[in-house]
Amino acid sequence: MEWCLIMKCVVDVRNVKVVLNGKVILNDVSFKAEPGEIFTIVGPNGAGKTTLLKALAGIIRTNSGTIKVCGYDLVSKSASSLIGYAPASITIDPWCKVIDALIAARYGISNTFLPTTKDYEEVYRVSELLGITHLLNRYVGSLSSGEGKLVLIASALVRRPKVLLLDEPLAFLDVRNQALIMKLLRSLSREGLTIITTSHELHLVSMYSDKVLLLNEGRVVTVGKPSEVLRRDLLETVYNTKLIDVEKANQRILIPTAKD
Amino acid sequence: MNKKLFLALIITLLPLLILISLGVGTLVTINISTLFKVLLGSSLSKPERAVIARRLIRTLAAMIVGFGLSYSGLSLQYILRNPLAEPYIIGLASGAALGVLMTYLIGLTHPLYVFISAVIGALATFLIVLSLTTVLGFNPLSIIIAGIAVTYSISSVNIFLIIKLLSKVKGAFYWLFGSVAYVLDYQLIYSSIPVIACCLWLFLRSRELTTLVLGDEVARALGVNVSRIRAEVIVCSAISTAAVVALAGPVGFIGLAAPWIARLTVGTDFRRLLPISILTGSIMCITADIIIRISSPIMEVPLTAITSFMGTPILIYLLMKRLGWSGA
Repeated sequence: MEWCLIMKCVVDVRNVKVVLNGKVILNDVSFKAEPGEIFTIVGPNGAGKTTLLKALAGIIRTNSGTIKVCGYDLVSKSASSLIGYAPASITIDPWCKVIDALIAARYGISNTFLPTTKDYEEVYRVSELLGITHLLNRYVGSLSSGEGKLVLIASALVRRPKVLLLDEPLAFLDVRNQALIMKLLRSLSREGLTIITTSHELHLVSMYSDKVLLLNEGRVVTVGKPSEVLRRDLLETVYNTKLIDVEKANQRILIPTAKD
Repeated sequence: MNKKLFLALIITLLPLLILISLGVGTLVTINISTLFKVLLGSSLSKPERAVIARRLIRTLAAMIVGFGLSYSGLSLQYILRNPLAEPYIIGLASGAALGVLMTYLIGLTHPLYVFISAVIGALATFLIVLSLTTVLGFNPLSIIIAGIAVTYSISSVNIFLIIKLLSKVKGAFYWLFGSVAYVLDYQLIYSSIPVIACCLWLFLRSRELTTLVLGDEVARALGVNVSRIRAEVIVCSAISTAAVVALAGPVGFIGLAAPWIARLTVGTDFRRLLPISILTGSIMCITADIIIRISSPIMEVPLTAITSFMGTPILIYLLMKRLGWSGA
């Protein structure tokens, strides 16, 4: 697909602090996501995963620290044109057609006033990749949660970003589409894209991620390979719950238990 | 309806309706062949010229009303992410009308004062609606509830004021329910300039406005200054609505129906929707004015009565076609 032939992008986060409504949401967060890497942020509800992703997307201003994308400061126009961001749940106007939403997402990439053939070609290409061409003329309000999720991911991909920021990309999806997205992320990372995601599906994180960051109460607990971070003892402490370690077909997964 | 067919229809309809509007009226009917001859350079008799000049002002006024209200409604629907938002429902029109009535009551009848007062009235009303919405908890429904509540309250005050003004201002009662029958040439000029200027401003912002369909957060991630765009749309809609209200009174339904008729036929891209909504709004208003002149030659009915009557079935038909999110 040749996504990143010209530029490969490092996301460099240093000592980031975010305070919202007087509450410290992120404190002293530092990490580096390399090109060709799938970097996943995990942590309990309220740990600050989405806030961190929004800060990386330039939606939330940081109170201190720096975020650099391809060497550009995040507030610059150049940074926003390099990023593709998809939120966790569907935010698109329900009365908007899917095709119009995807064309709108090309803002800042295509500089013509009206959408061009190239814009439509890109939309069709990404739609084929995600298997959503049949949804293009549907209203967003008519989509199921899973279909909406695929449209959101498509809206980030139509920008041909160098950095892909996906908030819970596997949520709402059935197993077939989860596999589709995991394969797609893997193939995009091979092309040199820097991919940062958040996830609650700990059993899937280890399958598609190269690096995992464990966040708790706004602070980085640890960063490393999935096998180093997704340890039962560590997760049980952070999540404050009992987990079962299951090993099947050479895959090790951690699942919660209903037993006391 | 097919997009191209709809586009061809409205582009053909507008000039045709302008010609019909110049031809029909209570006292003199000038047939279309005569009007074509005039366009080709033939001269008219003095009374005919006077009649056509009068009707031209009236037609252009109807066009400006449709023009201003349709793009204001469309832009408000975009920034508020509410399919029901329009200048009349969210209180801009009644606030502007209150502003106009205040100037007439004080005696400052110069069009510039009337216009400024209408803008202040519209913006102040919007602030009240916004404050009420904040109290109710901001969501698409609360802004409509707050808007309707404020509209009804201000409309009651407007009716009280208009009764006081009935003996002083010619056509005051018609104006309160929307009418282009008493528009004067200088009023048309004073109102057209802000309506066209604000429309151009928003047209230049079309690309940014289109991104708002993705949600505020995604639009921000794309590098769009969402708060600035919102403020620009509110100010432009208030100015445009104020100019229209100062000209023809608070005309309802155009701001809701015209953008929706356009949206359901040509899609949701603001860049395309803006010109199509404007054409649809203008056509609706000119048609309504023609119907008024034909149907009630002695005592004219208000513009809002016809626009609502005309727009409702079209809107219901289109919505029924799309009901259940059935897609294209």
